[in-house]
Amino acid sequence: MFVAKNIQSDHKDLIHDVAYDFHGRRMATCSSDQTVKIWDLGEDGEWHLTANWKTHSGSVWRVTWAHPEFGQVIATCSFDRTAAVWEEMVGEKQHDGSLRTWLRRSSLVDSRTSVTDVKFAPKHLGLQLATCSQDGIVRIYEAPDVMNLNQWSLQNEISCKLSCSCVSWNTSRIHSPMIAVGSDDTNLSAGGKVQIYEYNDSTRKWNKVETIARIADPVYDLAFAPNLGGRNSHLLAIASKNLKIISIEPLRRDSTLSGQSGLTKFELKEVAEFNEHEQQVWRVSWNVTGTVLASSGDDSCVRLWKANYLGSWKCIAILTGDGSPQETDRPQFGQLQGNQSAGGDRSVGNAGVRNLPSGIMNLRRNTGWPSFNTKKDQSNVML
Amino acid sequence: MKVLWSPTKSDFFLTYSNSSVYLYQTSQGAVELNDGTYATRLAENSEVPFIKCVAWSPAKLEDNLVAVGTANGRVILSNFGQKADNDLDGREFVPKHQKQCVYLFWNPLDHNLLAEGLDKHSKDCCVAIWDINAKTGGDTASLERQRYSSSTSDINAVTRPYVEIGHGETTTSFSWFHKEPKAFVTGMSGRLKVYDIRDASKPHLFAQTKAVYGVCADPLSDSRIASFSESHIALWDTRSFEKPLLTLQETKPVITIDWCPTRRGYLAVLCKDSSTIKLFDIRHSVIGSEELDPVITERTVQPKKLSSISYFSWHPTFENRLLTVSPDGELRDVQVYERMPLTFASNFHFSWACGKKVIDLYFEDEEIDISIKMKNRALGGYGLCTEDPMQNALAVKNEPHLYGLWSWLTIAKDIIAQEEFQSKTKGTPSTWEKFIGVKNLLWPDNTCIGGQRSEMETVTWSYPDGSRGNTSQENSPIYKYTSPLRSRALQLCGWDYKREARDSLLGLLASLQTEGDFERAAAIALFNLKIGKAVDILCQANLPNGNAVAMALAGFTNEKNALWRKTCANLRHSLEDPYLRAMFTFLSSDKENFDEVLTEEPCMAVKDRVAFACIYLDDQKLWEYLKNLSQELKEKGNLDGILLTGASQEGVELLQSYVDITSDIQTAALAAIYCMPSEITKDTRISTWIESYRILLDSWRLWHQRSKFDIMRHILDSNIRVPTQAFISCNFCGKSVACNMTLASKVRPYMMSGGQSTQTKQRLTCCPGCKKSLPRCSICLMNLGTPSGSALYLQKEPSDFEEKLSSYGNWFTWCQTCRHGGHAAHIRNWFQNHSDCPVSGCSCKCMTLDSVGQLSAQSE
Repeated sequence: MFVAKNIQSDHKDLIHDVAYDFHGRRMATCSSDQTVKIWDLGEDGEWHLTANWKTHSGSVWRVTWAHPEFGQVIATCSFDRTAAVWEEMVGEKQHDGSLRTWLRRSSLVDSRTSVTDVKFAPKHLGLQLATCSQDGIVRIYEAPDVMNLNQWSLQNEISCKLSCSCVSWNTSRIHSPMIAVGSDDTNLSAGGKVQIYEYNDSTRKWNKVETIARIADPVYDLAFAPNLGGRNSHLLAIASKNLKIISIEPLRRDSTLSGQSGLTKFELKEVAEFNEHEQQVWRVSWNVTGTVLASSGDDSCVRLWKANYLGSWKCIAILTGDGSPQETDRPQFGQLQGNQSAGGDRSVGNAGVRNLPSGIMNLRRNTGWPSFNTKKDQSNVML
Repeated sequence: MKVLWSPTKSDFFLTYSNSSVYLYQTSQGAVELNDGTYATRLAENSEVPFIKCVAWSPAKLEDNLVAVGTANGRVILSNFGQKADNDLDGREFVPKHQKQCVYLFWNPLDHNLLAEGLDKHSKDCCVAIWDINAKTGGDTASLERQRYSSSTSDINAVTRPYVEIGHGETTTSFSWFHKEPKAFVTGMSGRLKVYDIRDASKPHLFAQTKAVYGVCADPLSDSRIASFSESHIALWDTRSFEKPLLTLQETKPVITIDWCPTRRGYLAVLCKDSSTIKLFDIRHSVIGSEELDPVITERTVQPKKLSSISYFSWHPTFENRLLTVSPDGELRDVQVYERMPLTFASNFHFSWACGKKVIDLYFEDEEIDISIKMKNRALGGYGLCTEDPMQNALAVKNEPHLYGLWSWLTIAKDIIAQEEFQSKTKGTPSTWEKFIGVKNLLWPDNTCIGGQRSEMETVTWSYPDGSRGNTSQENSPIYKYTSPLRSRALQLCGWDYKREARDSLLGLLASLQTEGDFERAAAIALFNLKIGKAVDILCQANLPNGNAVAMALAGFTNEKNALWRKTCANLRHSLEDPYLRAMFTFLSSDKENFDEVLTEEPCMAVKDRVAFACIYLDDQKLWEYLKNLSQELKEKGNLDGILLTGASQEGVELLQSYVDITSDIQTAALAAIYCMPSEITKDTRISTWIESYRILLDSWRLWHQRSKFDIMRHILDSNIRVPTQAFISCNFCGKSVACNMTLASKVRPYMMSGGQSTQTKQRLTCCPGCKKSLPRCSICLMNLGTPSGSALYLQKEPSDFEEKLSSYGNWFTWCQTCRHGGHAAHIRNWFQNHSDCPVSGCSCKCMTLDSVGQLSAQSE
């Protein structure tokens, strides 16, 4: 059911982000070694390194792909206080024989501090980019001419007052443009760490419509779920001290109260909260339909979550974070646990197997609704 | 109890207490380090009394050579009794006076140097650096001392340190620099001092501070130093040593701190009586910035709950691995994971990074997610068969609700076709609204008032012996309601549908029997009062308790036989199939009131319940029942409800709640374009499903399926018009070369076909507006519009060319960047082997410009 591959990244330092393009055929990784690497999925089903270049003069925090309609374009952001837009161009043969190079199309240098996140807007909003930085400012850039990526105009600067760590666009086509911003400020009394902004077409401004006060702990990542079915409420996954899924439902615009401002009112509901990562949750990501959520946390596990037909979210799989084949001189900790499904026909491995064939990972899968007892008594940080 | 990893062997570590040193190897063994990780105790050295500190030699040649510092200041080398080529084992280093040994550190590069810290003793030095290869014994001073000391033999002892520093001072901590092996930093008498042993007379850097404990130089960045005092941790940079760059405040007294040797900027801090180790990631803290407080990421590691840690040791080579020990000697092996970024791809790839590694996962199991299911369905051609919706039903045969939806569409479509045929033959316009739901059919205004009027008839049983009941003889007659609309509703439910068969009901029963659905067949027969048929069906079925049920049915008479009823009631409870149960409920219920059958058997298919209701419920009750049922199904997002709502606004609501629950926008989009009238498909919800589905297909690179979907949309709704996206204009007159061509305008304007007839072929070589000739093909140099010729085809296998290609080969094609082009077949052939433009002198890399083309080429 899972086919796992270990990719030798050859990054010299920590990898901070991985991103797939629209089709899932290309992957970009960025690292503290200041480089970005591009991987293409070959016909052989393997990932091939096709580009590797130094992008910044500091750790590269995030990388993200633009919709292919705009070309082969990525954006990066870095500790060096800049964000950059890169385009793959076909030109003269490079020294390594490839015809393709990635050119820096634009450097966005408005931030005076580390730029912690960068995200392209959903395609229907044109070629827009949101960045957020440590000094608490979210910036919205736009390329007015999609054929000219050298020109990016700073459309809006939103001051969030708190050090920002992450930003996410709502992809809904029905609702007016919306972003959520997370803050990793550690001061618990500094207020809610997730803020939601909505774009007002008539004033051309982003207005703060919500601060999620109940999230006082630092937030390291957040993500709006893709809303393909046009569901009225939007789901937002938040990686903080625990994993939260919040539903944000726009209520009818109250024309009498909000008057000219036209602010949408929202009803916020906590759909799910999970402490299974036991400590800090670092990252969250939704699948293409917004039906499966993945999270990673301090317990060194990647967990997959899914809602049942009643809308209640459950863990469907736990993957141990280190997918490496076990080194021989290092005792292996994770014994594979067979699938607990009724048939048992899909078991990934047998308990007690000590030496795995390379490429197979420590997988634990719970079908049906899981019992977490297996992990409860383990240490927080596992081998 | 303290713990140390071996600096040379990745699987060795030692622990030591006041009296013994134990050597361990991680492997399968008796000592549990973590779940599934074990170690074996290999050796023990308890000959040295009053152990104060232990240091492990970094020399690769010396197996497990450790230096043990004792309470009287002696340092003893030990290799746990292994045989060695040298005589280092047992060698002692004896300071002038007996003072407690405070610390021991081997020089990381000059493996013969060993630094020892000594308690204060008048004017004596407090830091002694020993050369382990120095001459032993023989020195008069030491012989002199031997007389006063109680030790037996100091033949193998070194008494003169290589370097002595800090006379009359107190030292608390020490650290060699890793890249400048002659230099070290030490906490001494309220100062941090940096010395170089080549000139040990005075420190060449010092700073006044209280934080003189636990000083350690970052192995990955020599200028960075950390030290602590009580509960403060100070970070230093040797390039600006006057004051700490940063101080961190802890709530409890700090026991020990250490830099991670494998990961930049990780400082581990252990506080007193703590079950956690704190990790400070100072790598990206902007120190010295005016604008910002330095941001330090803090993490905690808890090897075991409720168990305090007395000491820890970073593994020298394995990334982020450390070993902790509790006061009672319990060991835990801990791996600290980095933040793992992760991401999903549209094509079910999922990857995350762990440190410097990337792991890519590929999901194949449909059970994991609807998106995988949707893609597989799309690949199977689901929803793309316009003529026969039943084909779509067969594509999702194992998903009952979807199957039901498409069967309903099939029936409804057939009925529409019949109606249209009839209205055509009769010449009257069809009154049948397309894809109407049962509820709207019966009550078009969606209210009970002024709705349809049904006639009540009394009906009788047909008994197993073939006789019919006599109405007048019955104690309680059965009332059935009929109206033209009700029979249409029954058609929609499938109970009265196959018109061509003489008896539609028998046809339905026969097909159910062939499908093996005997219970349902029997129940439908019974509900239509054909008790004899029901008994026949059950007898043939060979069901587990079919015969018993058949017997019971056969014994039924309409007289109120108490015993029979009681037995039936008992039998009913033992039955699992809802249809079998429903049969008995039907038989034993009050003949004017069949609500029980509907309320007690909600597991029957919606269409059967609705059909039953359409026969036996009076208008008022039927309205209530259908209203409640459709509301319930709508809320549950149960697609079966489409039977009731039909392609109405309510139907959209039903689909929406189905989508909200399942995220199956595919079925919703397909159903909407199949049956929803065009005024409803303008609904934003429907356009959202359609758009989302198209984007999904695009992201899976199912472009053909996407195009077919679009084509189907146009077939089913002729109101949708796609504007011309591009046309070829003449270089001279600027008019479209296609728009005034009668033949070409029928096909897509920008893709001209030249191979249709000889007449047009000749005319196509020039612009129809100004009669100037069209550009030439860059390969064959003929004017475009001419056939591309068949010579090229012959070089290839004939099977390579499908029938369509011959006309496609004549089409115009060109590079959007350099505007060079020609016949499609020629250009295609050219770019199979070239990436450059075929026009000489043009440096355009036409082929490589097309990223989408490359993506599709890869998938082929």
